[in-house]
Amino acid sequence: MTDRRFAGLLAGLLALVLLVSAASLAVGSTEIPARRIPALLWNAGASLDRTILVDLRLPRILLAVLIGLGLAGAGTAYQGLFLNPLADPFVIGASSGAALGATLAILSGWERALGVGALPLSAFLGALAAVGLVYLLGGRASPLGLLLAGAAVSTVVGSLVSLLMILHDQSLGVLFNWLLGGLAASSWRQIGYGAPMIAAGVLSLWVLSRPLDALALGDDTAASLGLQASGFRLAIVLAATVTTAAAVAMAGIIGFVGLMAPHVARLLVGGRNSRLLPTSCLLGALLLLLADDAARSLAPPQEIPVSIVTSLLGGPFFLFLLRRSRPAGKLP
Amino acid sequence: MSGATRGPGRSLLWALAGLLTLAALFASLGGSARAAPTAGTSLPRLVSLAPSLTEMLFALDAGDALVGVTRYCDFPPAAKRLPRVGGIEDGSIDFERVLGRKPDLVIAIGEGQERTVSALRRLGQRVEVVPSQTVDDVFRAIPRLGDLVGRRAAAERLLADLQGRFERVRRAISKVPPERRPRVFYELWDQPLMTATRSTLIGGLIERAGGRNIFGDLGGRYPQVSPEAVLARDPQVIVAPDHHGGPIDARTLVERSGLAGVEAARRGRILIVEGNVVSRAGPRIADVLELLAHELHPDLVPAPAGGGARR
Amino acid sequence: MTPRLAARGLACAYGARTVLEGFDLVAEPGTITVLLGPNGAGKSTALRALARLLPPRAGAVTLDGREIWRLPRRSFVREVAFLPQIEVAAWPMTVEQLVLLGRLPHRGWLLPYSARDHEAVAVALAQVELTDLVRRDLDSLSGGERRRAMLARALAQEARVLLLDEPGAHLDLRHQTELFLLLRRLTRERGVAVVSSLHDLNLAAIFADRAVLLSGGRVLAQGAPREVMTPELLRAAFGIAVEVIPHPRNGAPLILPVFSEAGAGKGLEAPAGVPAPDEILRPAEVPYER
Repeated sequence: MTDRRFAGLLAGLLALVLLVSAASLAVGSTEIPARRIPALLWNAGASLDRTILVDLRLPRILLAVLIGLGLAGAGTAYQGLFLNPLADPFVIGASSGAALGATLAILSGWERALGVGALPLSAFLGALAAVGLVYLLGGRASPLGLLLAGAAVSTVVGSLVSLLMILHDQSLGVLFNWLLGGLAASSWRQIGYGAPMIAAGVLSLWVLSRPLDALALGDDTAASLGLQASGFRLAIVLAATVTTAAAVAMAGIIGFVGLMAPHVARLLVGGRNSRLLPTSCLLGALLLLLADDAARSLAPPQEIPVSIVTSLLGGPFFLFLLRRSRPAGKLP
Repeated sequence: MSGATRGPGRSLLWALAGLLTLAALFASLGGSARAAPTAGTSLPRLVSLAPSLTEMLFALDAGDALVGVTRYCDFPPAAKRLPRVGGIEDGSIDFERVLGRKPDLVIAIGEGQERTVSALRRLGQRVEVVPSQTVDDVFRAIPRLGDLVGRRAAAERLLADLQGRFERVRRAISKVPPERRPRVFYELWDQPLMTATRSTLIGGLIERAGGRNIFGDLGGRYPQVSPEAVLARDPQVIVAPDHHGGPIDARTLVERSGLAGVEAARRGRILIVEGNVVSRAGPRIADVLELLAHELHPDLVPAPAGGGARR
Repeated sequence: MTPRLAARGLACAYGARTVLEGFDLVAEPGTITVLLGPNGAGKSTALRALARLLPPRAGAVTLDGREIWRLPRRSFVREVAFLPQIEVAAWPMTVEQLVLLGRLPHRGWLLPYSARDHEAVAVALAQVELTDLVRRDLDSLSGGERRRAMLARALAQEARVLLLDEPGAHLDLRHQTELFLLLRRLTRERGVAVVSSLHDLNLAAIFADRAVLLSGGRVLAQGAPREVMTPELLRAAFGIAVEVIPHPRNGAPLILPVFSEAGAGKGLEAPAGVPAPDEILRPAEVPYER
């Protein structure tokens, strides 16, 4: 694919994201005619419709885009780092760490003491701590070591969370809801905290595209090309983890986006990370937008947890693409 | 150009076009009636986020003030006709619907609704949190609700009535020493076997009805227990809610849980109660109390008037 | 001008296990130096030490007299390219992407590739005859094609010193020969210095300017191929009896394993049907089966 064609594709995806975002403003259990939306947005007059649009729907849409971007970016980075097509943003412990952080926040009453912000903050720190532990244990040497340590830490921490949940079952419901992941309580404040982190993380990953490519050739080759493999590996893990931790802190654990978006993007633009990353991020944003729209439209007023929708939407779609493009049956 | 980039390119475009159509479809889905019938002029427009609160409001003769309730609000029957705004937990409550009802006041129970409460408040909606988990919560909630809706007199009457009934039961069983109070096992669920401790509503009611909850001392609220533990503590009465995943009768319950050996099973002292009532900290807790007390001390407490919550 | 890569008294170890000792080498510009020896003799270790991948336990490696570990990595890799024995790109990558990565030492990891980079890639691909396969995914290539792609990556680095570990592995006879012809051209025309390990002794004999024979982590002999590849030294290194005869065309040593030798040396019993040593035929007399 030539550079020009790629630029065209990227622009097309961006336009699509903007289009679907705008269309999503009309999605919700309160009927607001699409015609009125632009007027409502620009005129500052207070009204219920405007509150719904500006304080409920708009942050939610923005958050869906951000989180889709972030999770897809992190997933792409981890798949490239571990050379593992099944890697997703949570493969080295971010999700279990976040769950532990959230559990501790709920059980220790920090939330009651420090306000609603305590939960996301704990989740964020928990995710970082877990990945940090994995990094120390797994040794900075090899990606395989990281993967194995990630599996071990995830299992142990996850069991710890389950144990705490059982012993303190009055908070079970709250935690469960949070774990399932959802964009219902999106707020501008959340976006204020999370957006810079996700933006910084994704941009860093894009900047590190070429080292990510080189690392795939093995540490020796990377070193012979002038890259210090362990240093760049750390940088990539750090950027991806901050992104994932921010995403989880804002909306719980939303699966599948980070796994699927890179694969679809790879089918479109190939494996070179400088192209793969932005494509994957935009696809992730698109997927999460559509999934969230479906999540709140399918059975109003109930909201289906968005993870379920991403899997239901994404899975068959991805299988369809896979069959169409790789008749030899090899994994991309 | 390698085949890998051409093949899915076109099908992807088609698929994305399809998705876009779907998105447009979603945009046209949903949407509930916006204009709401005005409530009585003296009553504020209320949205209740819990069935217990709904019941209390109806008991205060403020049912007309409600313009939105949860989908679990089914008592009294008039509540079933009210517009639904969602479930009772964070994530299942639709903010747009809540706001769309244009309430003057949203009343929440708080627990499990923290995110919803803070989000609604951030959007400028007045929200009052009225906990209702225990018996004492109910006694505190009723006057508070009375103040919030301007039904203070009704609240005082209701409170007096409920407290009176509680007091009568208390006096009736006061002479029974603790060791003579029947051992009670509350079976919340059979697989896994779960019970309720003293810190729950039903746990509190069992104690006030003159029973000894065999697992009252455990930590948590609805812990899992083993059948051996139940057999070891040999309850004399088993109480169970009727929503065990399907209609249930005493015999099936005992068989499924493997409790055939306990005294309660041998003597047939198994009480099935209406699940919704025993888990709602609302005005009907007095009914439950009287039912339990009569079952535990038939000679001291008369059978409740309307059959109560027995099933 | 081509820098001079040299090792003096080099010793390397993995943990407590010493795998190379007393290794001296000078990669003279414009020459091909081959490292010979059985598996485990230390050839790969020596190459990795020369490539600044393995710090020495003793001794030093210098580039134009300066110790390479004191040099910034970036300037070192511009001068010295390394092709490992196994380079796995497990992830889908096209030939072009792989060879472009060879420009990292010059371009850095941040800036987009320039026309100059693409030019270097085109030249490298032409040198290994992979120009037609430039857009193909690596995993759709044959083993030999993949090896040539990796070689192209090393060539695209435009380094003046090439360190190659078994570059001829998986290549068929023609491509092996063409590879070494290419290396010879690079040394003669551009003054590139090549240090390569090689299993094929005959190829080494034809193309090498210098040979280093390793065994058990030590250098058994070093010098012109003719001096190093004697039956005695080769038997000492490989533990197998060989006969060395002059190549009929150019007189270079041809090494042939001997299956059994009455009296001296270790040998294997010839399997049935294989001629006994006195019956080894000269190449011109081998009958062809159709």
